Amino acid sequence: MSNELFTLEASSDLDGPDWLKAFRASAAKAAAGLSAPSPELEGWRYSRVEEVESARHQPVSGTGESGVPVAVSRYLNELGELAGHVICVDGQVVEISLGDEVPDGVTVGLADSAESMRVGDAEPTDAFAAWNAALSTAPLVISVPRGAEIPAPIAVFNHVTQTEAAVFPRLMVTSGENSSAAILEVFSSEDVKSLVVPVTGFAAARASRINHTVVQDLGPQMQQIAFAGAEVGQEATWRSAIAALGGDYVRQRLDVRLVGRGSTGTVAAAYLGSAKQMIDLRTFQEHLAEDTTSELFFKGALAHRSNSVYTGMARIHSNARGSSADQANRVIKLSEDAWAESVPNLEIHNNDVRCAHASAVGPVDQDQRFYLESRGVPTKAAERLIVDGFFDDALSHFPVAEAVALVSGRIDEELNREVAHLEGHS
Amino acid sequence: MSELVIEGLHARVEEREILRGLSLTVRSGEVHALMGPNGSGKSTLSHVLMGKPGYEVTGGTVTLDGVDLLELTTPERAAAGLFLAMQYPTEVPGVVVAEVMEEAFVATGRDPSGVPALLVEEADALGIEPSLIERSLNVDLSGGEKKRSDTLQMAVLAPRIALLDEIDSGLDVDALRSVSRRVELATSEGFAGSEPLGVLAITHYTRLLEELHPDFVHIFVDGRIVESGGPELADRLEAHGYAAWIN
Ligand SMILES: Nc1ncnc2c1ncn2[C@@H]1O[C@H](COP(=O)(O)OP(=O)(O)OP(=O)(O)O)[C@@H](O)[C@H]1O
Ligand SMILES: [Mg+2]
Repeated sequence: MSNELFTLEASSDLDGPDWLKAFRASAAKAAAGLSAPSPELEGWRYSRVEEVESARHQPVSGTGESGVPVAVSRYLNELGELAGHVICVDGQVVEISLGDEVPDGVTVGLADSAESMRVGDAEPTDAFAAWNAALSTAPLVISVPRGAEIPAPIAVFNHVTQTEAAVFPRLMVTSGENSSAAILEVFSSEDVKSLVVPVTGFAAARASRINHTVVQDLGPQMQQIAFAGAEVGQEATWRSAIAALGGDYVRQRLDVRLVGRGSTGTVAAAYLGSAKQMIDLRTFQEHLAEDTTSELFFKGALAHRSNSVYTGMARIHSNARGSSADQANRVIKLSEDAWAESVPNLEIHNNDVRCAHASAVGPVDQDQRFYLESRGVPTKAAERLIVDGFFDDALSHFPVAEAVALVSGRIDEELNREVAHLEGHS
Repeated sequence: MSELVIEGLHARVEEREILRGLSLTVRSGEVHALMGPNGSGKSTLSHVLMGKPGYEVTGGTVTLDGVDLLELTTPERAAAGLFLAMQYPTEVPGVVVAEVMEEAFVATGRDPSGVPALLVEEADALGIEPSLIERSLNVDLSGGEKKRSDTLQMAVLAPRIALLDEIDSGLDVDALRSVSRRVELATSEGFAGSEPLGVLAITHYTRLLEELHPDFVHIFVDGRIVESGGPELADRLEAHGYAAWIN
């Protein structure tokens, strides 16, 4: 078994300190040995991964320019108060800024050791994520020491400007005991046709609290294969959310491993497809200790010929007595040509647990529309209210409040563009 | 003066005829109570009048002030002055009452800027917690709260004719009284100077009738009205049940 998604040379050509070169070299060997993903494989079923022509994409490192892209400045304006930010363009850091209010001992910067590159036991096993370790040009680390509380989010921007480029953002976040932090990741691009392969890892120590939100706002031709994983310790809480707005084929895998007793992991998503876009979401909720809680709350709307895949697994191991797992994925089809797969799964190895899952795919709910129409709201406006409300409901589960206005504004813009389409469909 | 005129109405659901020749006229200021056994077709009537999808009208006519209602879409019927408080109000996650009322105002050329104040004022009159109007429509509302919320919407929208399908179900004694008072006030004075409201109230209980003081009571069996009279009809029903009307 092996794959030629990328080459060993591409990895060895990259610059960096010796420890990083050595790390990449062994990561590249490991990555090359993994089988290439294909829709025949569980976990990639229904995906469009075979359209990802990785060989056409050149791993890049920076643009040679150092300015902050206009698009990123705009996000910074919209986001309001941040405790700090990192801006990467085409896989190279162009700016790191940390406010005075950030407690001592918090570090935000490039990884400085092989150990700091590790994502923890939530280590990804698929080939793309493995190649990330071999090809990441600017691996970042955010570490929050024991007891530190960061008052506002730290945002990490990854912006792509070159075409036919492959970019491998990597971010490792660790939170010490009783600390708290909010991390916001924004992925954006110019209107280019490139590939982004992000890996984000979290390790939340006892009683720490991490809030995390991803805003995926890539250009319409972009492809993305992303992995995010968290390992949550005793009484710790990790809350994550994804807004999947842009791109052509965009995949996000999310793994949460509840390893400490009484730990909590929640994931929310709001996704909006248009044109012939595919949004591909895979989740794992692993309960590995007693009294753990996981919750998944996803909502998507699909216009035109777009489609979405959601497959999720909540697995409660035999030692996870008293745990509870929730999964809900709901999709509104705004067009008859859109389609969605939605497959929640439960695997339970302990009887003393509480599990629930819900899955629904369909057009705008007829009863909801009738209810609003019976108040005198015209059909088109009623559908718009329902879809807006549907997303507001999802956004109320987003843990980084500062990102919500940005996301809801972007959803509004997209929906305004879809209005003409909504009108022709009921 | 408004007038909802239903003549010889027949309608089907899923190939089954539910309404079988129903005739009824409701005028401004009148309160009609419609009482009938479970499954006799009362809610079906209210849905057909409001234009809910899935119902096929196979005969008869319905006009509101001379306008053929059956030719209108649901929002057009509402704009023409018809309101329906549903037996089971639908949950609409993420949508709050103010935005719905505002859209409805805009659609009928009314100024939506007064909606928030109007909501607060009417909510107060109905004894509705201010926090309730900030919540998603009907989501996780108790049975009685849903009914109050629908009454609130009626009061804000100021219709000419209101169809109230079991508005009393789930209401506690105090809520039943405040809802009834609000409806009664509208039937005597109208909404903010408009003509008095005409009401068709579907109910199972004489309790509502004691509060609402209907002018007419209709016994509805098997898709049509089998007897009409005054409040004394409800007393007969209360004492003896529907046996006398069911063959
Ligand atoms: N969508 C539908 N599909 C099939 N049957 C239906 C549908 N809607 C209503 N019915 C049937 O039509 C009949 C009348 O129902 P309706 O809800 O109008 O009764 P109702 O008089 O309002 O009863 P209740 O007093 O219990 O509210 C019932 O037998 C019901 O099962
Ligand atoms: Mg009924």
